[in-house]
Amino acid sequence: MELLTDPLTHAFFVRALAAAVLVGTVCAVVGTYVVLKGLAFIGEAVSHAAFPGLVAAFVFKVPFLLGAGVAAVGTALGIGLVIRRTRIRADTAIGVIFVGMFALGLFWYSAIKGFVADLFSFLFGNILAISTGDLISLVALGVVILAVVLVLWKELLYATFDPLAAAASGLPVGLLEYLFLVLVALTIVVSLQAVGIILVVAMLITPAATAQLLSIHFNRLMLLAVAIGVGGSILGLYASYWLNVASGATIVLVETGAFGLALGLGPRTGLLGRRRREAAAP
Amino acid sequence: MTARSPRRAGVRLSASLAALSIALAGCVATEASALAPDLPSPEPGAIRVVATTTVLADLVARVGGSLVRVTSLVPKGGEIHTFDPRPSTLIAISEASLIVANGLGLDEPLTDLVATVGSRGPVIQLGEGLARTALIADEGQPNPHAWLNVAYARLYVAAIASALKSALPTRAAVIDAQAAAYDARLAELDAWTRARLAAVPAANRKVIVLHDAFPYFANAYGLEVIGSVISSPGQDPSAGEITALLAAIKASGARAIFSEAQFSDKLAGAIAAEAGVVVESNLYDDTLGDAPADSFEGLIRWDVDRIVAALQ
Repeated sequence: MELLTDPLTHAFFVRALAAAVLVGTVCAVVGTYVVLKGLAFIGEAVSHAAFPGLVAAFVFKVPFLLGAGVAAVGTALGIGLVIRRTRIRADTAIGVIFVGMFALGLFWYSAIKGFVADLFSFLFGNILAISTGDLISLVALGVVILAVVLVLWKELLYATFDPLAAAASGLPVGLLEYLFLVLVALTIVVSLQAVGIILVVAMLITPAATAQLLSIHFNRLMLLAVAIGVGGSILGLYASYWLNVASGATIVLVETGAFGLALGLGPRTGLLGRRRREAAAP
Repeated sequence: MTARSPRRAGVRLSASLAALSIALAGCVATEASALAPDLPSPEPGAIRVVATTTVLADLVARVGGSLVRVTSLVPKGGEIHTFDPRPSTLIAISEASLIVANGLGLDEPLTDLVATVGSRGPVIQLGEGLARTALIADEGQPNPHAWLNVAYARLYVAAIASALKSALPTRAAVIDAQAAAYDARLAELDAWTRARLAAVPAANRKVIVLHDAFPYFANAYGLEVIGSVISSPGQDPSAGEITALLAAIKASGARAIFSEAQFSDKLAGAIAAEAGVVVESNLYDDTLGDAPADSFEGLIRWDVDRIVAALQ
């Protein structure tokens, strides 16, 4: 029991735990749509595209959340625009834009003169270093994201699974598409501080991907994703405390481990499930 | 089948995760000491002091002796700019009675981290305590590597002693005695360094550095730094900057490029080959190394030996 309560005597761990639960929830909810819509690559793209925003925030001395938010949302909308308005395939458009944005960040970073803050903290983030102020803005942003998903639950669902019928029934599918891209961008921004640019896409898609191995029913899938996302974040954070290793990487590894377990043991793809099905079928 | 099995799979999954967490909990990590083996071990009532770098941690340990339990935030051989704190680091910060930093922009991310985490005791920034006129600035930004002039390291020691006395007022006499003894050793180190560098012929004293860490050393001991390869860690030079540097090396007749152990020497090696000068890539500045460079005194002696050898 002390193993669980001992870390809680440190304020930084409690803040990290709150952030882990928040990030785990928001990522799993938005990630469920991302995985079902096949937009994982956009998550990867938006996270890297946040980098020039972080550099800009450093240069102009504005909050990192603001810089990252503007860059991420701008890139997500830009990608959406190029995909919808040109004949360039989605993965090509994403590849061109996100590497361009990342290069812009590196270019700008190299142009800053004097002793600059660390590139690596931008790239890796640290959930343990979240201040109370950071946490409050993260919670506010996270609540906004969840509220939008909840309010537009039916519309998003309809536009995700049957965009043609949704459009025919008069839903503004194009607008919903852009709104969804903004939600993905903001989710990435919320998670950046926890795990950083390089690992953030795993937070977004791994819980939902794991849940997809376990269920095909949408509501259950999202609940499972949230359970895996929150559980994985908490377990990963504790494991990093016990083992004294980097927290972001540990959280991602725990979630990846859960994916592996679901792959091996899950009812639809798992070896055990298959054996049982074979035994059941004469 | 699909209606029941997800739930069962979920139960199985959580059981597996629980097993994993128990397995992980079995191997609680220990904190490795990065400091020299000749330091006394902390006595039972020792206060916890956190220093941002191993160099500062060594100075604190020399002054505090067995009265302090010192942790360095950046580990030995680590680099401040690529530092990623672990949970144990943050526990050390939150329990520290004193935080010792350099300031002057060297360890800003770390002092920010300390402010976020919160510590029991105050934060002192040793470089900020130096007289403004003592600082060497580039484009208005003071260079932080002041401790590489041993005379300034002695000022650091004096500031550490007074901060430790504030934290442990009843042990002031012990701290004063330890600080005086260590200061005498540093005075000797300063004189030794000056004598070793004085033996280098005047024509051979022009050098290039990988990153601008040696202006205080050069100023104190009579070297002339012609230029640096990178302006700040993580920022590779542009083609134009390399061309300008090569021209500066040729025009000045610089003898050597000095690079530090914690950085890759690939770039310095390529430039040295192009310019026809030698590379000494195993110097220490921000961080201590393995023995004999595992203390501040050892670091200075190690660097001086290599610098003198490269310039002969």
